[in-house]
Amino acid sequence: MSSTETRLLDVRGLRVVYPQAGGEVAVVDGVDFTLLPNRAFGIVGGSGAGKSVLLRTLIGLKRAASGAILFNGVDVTNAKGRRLKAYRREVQIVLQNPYTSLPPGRSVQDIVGEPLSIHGIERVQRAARVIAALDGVGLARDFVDRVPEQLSGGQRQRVAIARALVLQPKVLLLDEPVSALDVSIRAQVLNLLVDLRRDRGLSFVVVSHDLNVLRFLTEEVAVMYGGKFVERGSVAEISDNPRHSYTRRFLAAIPSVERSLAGRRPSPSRLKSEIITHV
Amino acid sequence: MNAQPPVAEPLLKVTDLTVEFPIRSRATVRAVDRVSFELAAGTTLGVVGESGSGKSVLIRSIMRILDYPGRISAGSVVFRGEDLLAKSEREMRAIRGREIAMIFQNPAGSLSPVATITSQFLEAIRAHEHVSRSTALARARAALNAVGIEAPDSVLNKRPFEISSGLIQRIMIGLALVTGPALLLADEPTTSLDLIVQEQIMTTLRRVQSEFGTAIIFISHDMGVVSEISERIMVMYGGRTVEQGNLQEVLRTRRHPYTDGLIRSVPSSVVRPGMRLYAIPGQPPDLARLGKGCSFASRCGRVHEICRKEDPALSSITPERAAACHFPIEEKESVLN
Amino acid sequence: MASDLTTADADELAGALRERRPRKIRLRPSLVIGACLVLASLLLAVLGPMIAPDAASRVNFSAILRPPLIGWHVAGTDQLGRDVLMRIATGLRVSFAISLSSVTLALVVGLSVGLISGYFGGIIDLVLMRLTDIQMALPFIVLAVAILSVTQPGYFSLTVVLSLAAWPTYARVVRGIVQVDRNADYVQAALAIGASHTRVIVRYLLRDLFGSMLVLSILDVAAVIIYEATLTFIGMGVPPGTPSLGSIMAEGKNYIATAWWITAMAGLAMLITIAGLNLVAIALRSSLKEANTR
Repeated sequence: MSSTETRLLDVRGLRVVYPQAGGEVAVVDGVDFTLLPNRAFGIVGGSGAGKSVLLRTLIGLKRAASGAILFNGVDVTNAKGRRLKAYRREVQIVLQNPYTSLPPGRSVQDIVGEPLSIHGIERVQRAARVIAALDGVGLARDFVDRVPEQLSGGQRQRVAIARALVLQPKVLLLDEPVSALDVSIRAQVLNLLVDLRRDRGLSFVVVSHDLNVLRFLTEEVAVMYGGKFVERGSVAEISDNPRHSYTRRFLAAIPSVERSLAGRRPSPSRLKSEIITHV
Repeated sequence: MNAQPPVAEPLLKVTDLTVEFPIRSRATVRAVDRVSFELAAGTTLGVVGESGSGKSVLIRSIMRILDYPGRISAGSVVFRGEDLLAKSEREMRAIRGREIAMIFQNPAGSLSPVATITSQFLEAIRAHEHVSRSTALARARAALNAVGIEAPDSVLNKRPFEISSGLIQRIMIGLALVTGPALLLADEPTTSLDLIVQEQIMTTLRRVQSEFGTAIIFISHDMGVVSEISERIMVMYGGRTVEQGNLQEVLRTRRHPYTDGLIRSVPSSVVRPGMRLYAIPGQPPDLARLGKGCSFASRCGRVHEICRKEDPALSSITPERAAACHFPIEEKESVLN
Repeated sequence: MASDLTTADADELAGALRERRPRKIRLRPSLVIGACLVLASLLLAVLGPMIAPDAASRVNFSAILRPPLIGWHVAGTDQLGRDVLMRIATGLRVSFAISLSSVTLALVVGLSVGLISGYFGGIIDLVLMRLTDIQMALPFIVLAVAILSVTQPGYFSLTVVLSLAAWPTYARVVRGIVQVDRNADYVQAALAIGASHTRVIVRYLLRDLFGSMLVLSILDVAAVIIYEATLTFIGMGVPPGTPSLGSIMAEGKNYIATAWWITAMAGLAMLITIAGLNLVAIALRSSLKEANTR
């Protein structure tokens, strides 16, 4: 059923390192996963676990020290030039902070149209595709002349999503898609993502520290800790039957209204004085 | 570490507090609009709100550390029977850090990067009292113990950059408590921290509540976090209080459509792929453009004509429960997901 | 990072007060005054020799060393009877021409070095920065005198020498800005959609650099005018006989006691020009900074 050819993304043993005093540290340390068409894969974990670095490596913004990334069977690990560009036409990323991920002072038209101009779509088609992309994210036509400074966080994130979708990629990588947004509008963007996925048959790789966001968006998640995937399964499986100790700690730390109302408070984890000497 | 014995009069009583900021076109916006609440000694009030809600401006006004050009234009802040707004800057300095302390979102931001933790403690203590170095150090150690740092000396000699941010935030709590304040203001103390670290901070704060009886005002945009620690909760929107009451009651039976919408729109443990989340339409308000009427009107699913014309006052539903809505949700309508 | 969560709601007030207009450069009084001064200077330089083409060189032994405001000579005459104002006008032309060309050269070199260094980093950065350091370590006058005494005197060598003094500053400033911007989310996002390095540099980084480069160059023009005058004053600048602010002042110094106006007027012209340029640069820098932090 899932022969190598139908795998959209096939990641094997991926390692990404950062230099550190006295050597290097593996921020992503031997990660494997596959992504099939029309499926969503989530990655959850605390900060410093390497989740964002993993996504950025998948899109070629960071160098992989070892391991492989295959897209539709083609090796795109540390790809350059034309191969990288072709890959980026099919796989796009939406970054976490909509206040910094859009170039300041550029019109929405420019921003959403940029992927089209980079990949050589003829000018005559561009305007129409930009409008279609904006429409797809629920932004009216008259947004094309606005600049990011005039937009709210939710609107900016929609522009970022429109930009990512304008080339009609197969895979969307999402780095904490709603964490930087106001709480009252997160549901709007989450619903939008679900609709887009269904309507376009997209696949997602979603990174979030919020397990319930992944519960809503994905079928399978991996818990990331110290650069490794320590547990895998659907969110339900992981929540009901956590096997790894980090997963258990993580689950116990999730604040929730339901839990507070039920009077269930987890036994407080021993407060440890962890002193980490790092820069 | 002075525990306040319960008194009949509230520790803090804020009445009709209004804070204005001038904006370019010579108009002003009201970042905080006629906010009133009471805080009994030793209790915790959670303040929930998002962009434009005014929650941060509110507690900065209580401490009177408001950034220029903000200005408290009306209202009173009565702390232990005295109006803080009437006090001089000198008098406020004696109160800040001593009777009212504050912790912030970015823990290391309030610490000098070149000074050791010891010196930060010494400075904090000696700003208010003349004590010997050894006494001050003993207090520092006790404060660090109180926040769960079992080996305080291992931390005292270090500088902030050598310590993880979770630990720093706990140290900040210790620093805030070392002078034995009656009130602790916490502005999104866990927001930029990892979940597991966040849990440690919350545990620390719960310990503070039970062992020291310090009253706390805890601000966050995250209802879940606030619910872990507060006895009472106040929901703010567009600079105004929209709902107030005991935590359990407010969360179970939401009266204000905004509170209701918030609770229902946050993905909870019952969501599944394929479902649709309840979403509040529209965006958080632009304070500069708030017109007459209810600040939530443009997003409210239960809006009526009058909502757009008249600003609903915060009215009591029960002696302990209030909501600012012309048509608050009936108790039987409110369903807990 | 989760810390970015704070930008959205910690800044709640900024969210409300955020001006929904694109940024504008504010007109400050200093900007207007400075611009007027520079404009006056430029007009004199451009129009003067056009209106009275040989007034600067027309020798008139019957009217030597006339004080200002006698007859047609607004600024008096010099030791050969030449009209001082017109000589200053020609001198300004020369000064502007030299400073504009050397600043342009310095800008081009410094910008390129800074861009490449800041963007690509690594060993290229190391090498280029060492070169910059070496250049900055050499005191200008010493270097200038050394070079000019061995090369052919002339506009070209003068321009090159003057730009040697200026380019390292551009390189450093550009490098600093590029290093930061390069890691900005929107630049990373552009790379992620497939933009080439060239595209990122031209469409994103250069735009961000524009303001700083403008301010720096204006300040530089002022500085180079002074440098050129200094070099000419000590005899190492423009070829002898060519009027320039420096040479006029140098000639005039022999007559200071009796015909103070020759040097003084040239000095005044320079003062007005420099002051104007500096005012414009400083005002622009403040206004740009303001516009950028909205």
